[in-house]
Amino acid sequence: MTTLLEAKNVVKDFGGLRATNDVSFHIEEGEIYSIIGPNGAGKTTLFNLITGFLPLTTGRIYYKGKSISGLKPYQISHRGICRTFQLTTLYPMQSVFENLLIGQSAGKHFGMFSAIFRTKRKREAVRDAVQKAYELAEFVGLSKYNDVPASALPQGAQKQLTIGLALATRPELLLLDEPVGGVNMEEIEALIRLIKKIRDTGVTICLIEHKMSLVMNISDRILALNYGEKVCEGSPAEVCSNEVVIKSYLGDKYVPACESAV
Amino acid sequence: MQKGWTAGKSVAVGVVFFALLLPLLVRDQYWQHLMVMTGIWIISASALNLLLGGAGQLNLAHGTFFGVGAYATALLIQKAGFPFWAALPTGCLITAALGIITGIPTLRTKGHYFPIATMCLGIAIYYVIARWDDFTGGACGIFGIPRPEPIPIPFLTTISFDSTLACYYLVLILTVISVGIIAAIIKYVSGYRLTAIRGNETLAQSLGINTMREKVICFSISTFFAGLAGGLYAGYMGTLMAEQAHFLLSFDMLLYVIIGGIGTVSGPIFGAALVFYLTEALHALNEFRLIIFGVLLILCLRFMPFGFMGAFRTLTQRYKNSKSIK
Repeated sequence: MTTLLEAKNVVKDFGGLRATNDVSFHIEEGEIYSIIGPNGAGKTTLFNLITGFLPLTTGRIYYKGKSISGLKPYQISHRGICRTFQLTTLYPMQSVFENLLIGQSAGKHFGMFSAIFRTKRKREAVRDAVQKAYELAEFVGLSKYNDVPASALPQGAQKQLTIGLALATRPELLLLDEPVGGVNMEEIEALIRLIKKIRDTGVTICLIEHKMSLVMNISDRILALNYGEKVCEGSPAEVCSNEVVIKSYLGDKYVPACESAV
Repeated sequence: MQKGWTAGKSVAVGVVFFALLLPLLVRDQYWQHLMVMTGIWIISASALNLLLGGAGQLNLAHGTFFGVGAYATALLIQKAGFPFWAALPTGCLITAALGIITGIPTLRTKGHYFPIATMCLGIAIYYVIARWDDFTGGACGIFGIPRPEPIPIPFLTTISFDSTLACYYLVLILTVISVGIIAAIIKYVSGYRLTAIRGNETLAQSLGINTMREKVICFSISTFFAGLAGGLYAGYMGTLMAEQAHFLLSFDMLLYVIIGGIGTVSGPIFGAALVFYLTEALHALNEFRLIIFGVLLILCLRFMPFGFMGAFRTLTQRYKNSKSIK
């Protein structure tokens, strides 16, 4: 396995508050990597740092061996990293199908001048995008909702669509920020299946989640953060038997559930 | 995105055909003049709608850019000796260039700050035009801008633009081209990039869209067509006053767009025609007609947020749905 993403001594200060303190970790190609920790531990900040929405204070982040620190979010997206947001973020007025087309619109041949001077190659690119949008709808399990506005979907389906939207950019590393937040049990099952299915297509996944049953079930490795610092990193079994993690986040009562995961 | 021949395209062809034949019905010089003006306002309102309905940015300097295009064209003719046919595209390019230069700093602002920034910009440019006596004629304006030069057609005749009718056809052709290009940008897949920015700029960036670049391109295309409308106005009217570059002009165009339907291709056309003729029909009321427009605007925003065309679309959709249920 090769290292896909590597963060070295990442520090982020918000004024006097150190949100991320000297965190180093790496994500291997093809794995599901989870980041856990109590609220305010700096999980989403870490995502924002990776995707360029926030500048690093010090430290470096490498993607496929090249530094991506200082790049703009859209440039990082072009490199093959795409994220979802904690609050369900999609285009509520547009249909599922349109959302999935919008997700591909950063590609070549979709600029404003392309609209004025249409060539055969551009028409083909559009046809491919339409085809891809149908495939994606099928893949994330929303093809029956193709023409439904995104705002009319149930929460679980909206979460599926945000993942589809991120997949539309054809990422190699997918960052999911609480993919099952605010979703009921049945819908969680569907989302877990979807995440596993994405992993099976060769996309590496990094996710932030509070739902421990999900994290322990699907993660290859886990990073635990607390107050911006790395507490522990390792397999699910290692992390949930770590005393600091239990004390700061999981709580004593979690131990039996953890053993069953092992 | 629409494929092949649609109802919308049939309607568009119908409207153009109607506009071509309209002078046969309307012989009155004054009404023909109003028709020319309507065409100019349609170009300008469509350009405003490209940025507002497309990228979701309200440019309150749009009226000023209209004036910049008009002044650039007029000054190129009078001071640089350009023929109208060279001055018009050059004037458009100057306006678009000014759009890019001013767009880069102003488009960095978000939310309400962009309209505020552009309003300030519009006021600043207006005062440059209104006070620069030596160059722009200041408050006196510019007089005696010649009509476009006649176009000779070999072996047949020459088209002269002395008559209002000839100007009407010139403006009509340019309106069709302008609206066609703007419609292509909104309706084609590139419209999805704009939709992405309008809907959620952060998400758009995360999807790999260079939002700043797209907004600046959209802004420059929008100002280009504002300049085109202004240049046509200068060539047709022959006189320019600093008021033609006032930022309040933006609100007239905004009214056309809102009442017609933000983000629809047909909206600015319908809105410009309706409101412009209402303005003329209610001439006797003087400034009291603004009350009528005010009420109309509030009713529109409350009950038809996407204007008459948006309401029309909703109604046809409902009709189709009710039919499909039966």
